Amino acid sequence: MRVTICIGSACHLKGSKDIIQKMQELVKVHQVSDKVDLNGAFCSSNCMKEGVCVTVEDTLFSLKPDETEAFFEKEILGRL
Amino acid sequence: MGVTVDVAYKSLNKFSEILCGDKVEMLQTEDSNIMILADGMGSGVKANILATLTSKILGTMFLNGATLEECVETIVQTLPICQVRHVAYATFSILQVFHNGDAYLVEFDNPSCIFIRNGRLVPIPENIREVEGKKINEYRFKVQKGDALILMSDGTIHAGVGQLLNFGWLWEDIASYAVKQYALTVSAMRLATAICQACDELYQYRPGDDTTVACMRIINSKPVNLMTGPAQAPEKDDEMVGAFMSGEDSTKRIVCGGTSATIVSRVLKRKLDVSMDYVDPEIPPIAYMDGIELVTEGVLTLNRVIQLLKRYVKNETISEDFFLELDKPNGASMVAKMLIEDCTELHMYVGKAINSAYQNPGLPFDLGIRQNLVEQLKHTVEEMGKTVTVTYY
Repeated sequence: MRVTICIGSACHLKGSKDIIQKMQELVKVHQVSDKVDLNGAFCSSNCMKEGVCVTVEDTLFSLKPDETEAFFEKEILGRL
Repeated sequence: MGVTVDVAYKSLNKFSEILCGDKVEMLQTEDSNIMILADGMGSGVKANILATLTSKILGTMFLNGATLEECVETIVQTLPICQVRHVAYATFSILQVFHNGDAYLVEFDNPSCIFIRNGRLVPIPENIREVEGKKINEYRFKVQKGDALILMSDGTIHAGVGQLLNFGWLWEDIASYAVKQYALTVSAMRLATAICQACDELYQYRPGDDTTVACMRIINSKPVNLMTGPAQAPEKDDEMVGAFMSGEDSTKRIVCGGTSATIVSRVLKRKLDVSMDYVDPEIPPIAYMDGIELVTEGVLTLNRVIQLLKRYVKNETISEDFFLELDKPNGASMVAKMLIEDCTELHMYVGKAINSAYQNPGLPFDLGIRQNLVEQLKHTVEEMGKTVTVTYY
């Protein structure tokens, strides 16, 4: 499963760094590194949304750093 | 094939003085580069004013094509007269190198220029002319690639006088040290810093006089093309990327901006690889693309680049720490390092499109300042003595 997190200027300011860190930890904790492929990406022109642009298998989400854990459980583990 | 120069200088203030009594001016005309070093009599404010006036007058008049006689006459008539010594006095050296390789050196009372070619010292012949009662040495010659020319104030030859060295650091000894450092360093700044550092050590870190070393190295031209921001009209994308990718074989290329990088990737059909490596928490990670030396995020990175370059231009704060900061693997340090050490001319390709997402007042940083940053970058890099062109799309 390919997950991309935007690190463009706007998303960076909304907390991409924290989300990436958290996701990397979660991937380790749940031992799914062979199934989940985390990637950085530049702007996908969806910055108008409130959170950081995250795509899971080409579906776009807008994520705030403090929602990362719940998001991971639902959208990533839930789809595996 | 034109001659390209790398110019830089480094000064030490006389111990306990806030201002330096030496002043260096670095200028460019259409067909030449000029470096002027003036040393005002005395130290502190008075010396600083004398040196600043002298170097500015020389610079401005030379720039406008005045003859040496006219320049010297103006200086003699303009400088304020010292109340202690009843003379108006500042020594100076002028080095002008034309793009066709012709060089012109003028020296008045400063230690003679150190001229290094092929790792050897080249003596500068005596050819004295009297102008307004001042004995001025003139030398016309041709430069070639690899040459280094070093101008100094007399603080260098006085280093250590009466303390570590009986008669100070003799010109011949400085010259042979310079020859040694010439082989060890690449940039003009590192050569100037090395000599200045040695003076500081001989002074036991309490310089008895203002000390300045200004260095010019004749080098291969190193163009850098920098693209930032998407074009205002998307149909201009191809044209913009085409211009950005043009240039000589030696041209290095930087893309600052995620959207810009995506456009380059699309137009050139080359894969863009975005890293997730946060080396510095404030600077977004870089990306990789074949044929592009550096791909970084846009305005946040450029903002930091400008901070670094301004520190470099301000000069007083340049130390080993600064170069360590430059060596860090974050996008901003990498761009700044390339502009300082690996660039003689900068060509910027700037898109004027406004990113609607950046108009979000909720963001803690004003992202809509690209053109302002580009202007600042242009001025700062010009102050470093390099040519800058900007093309807007």
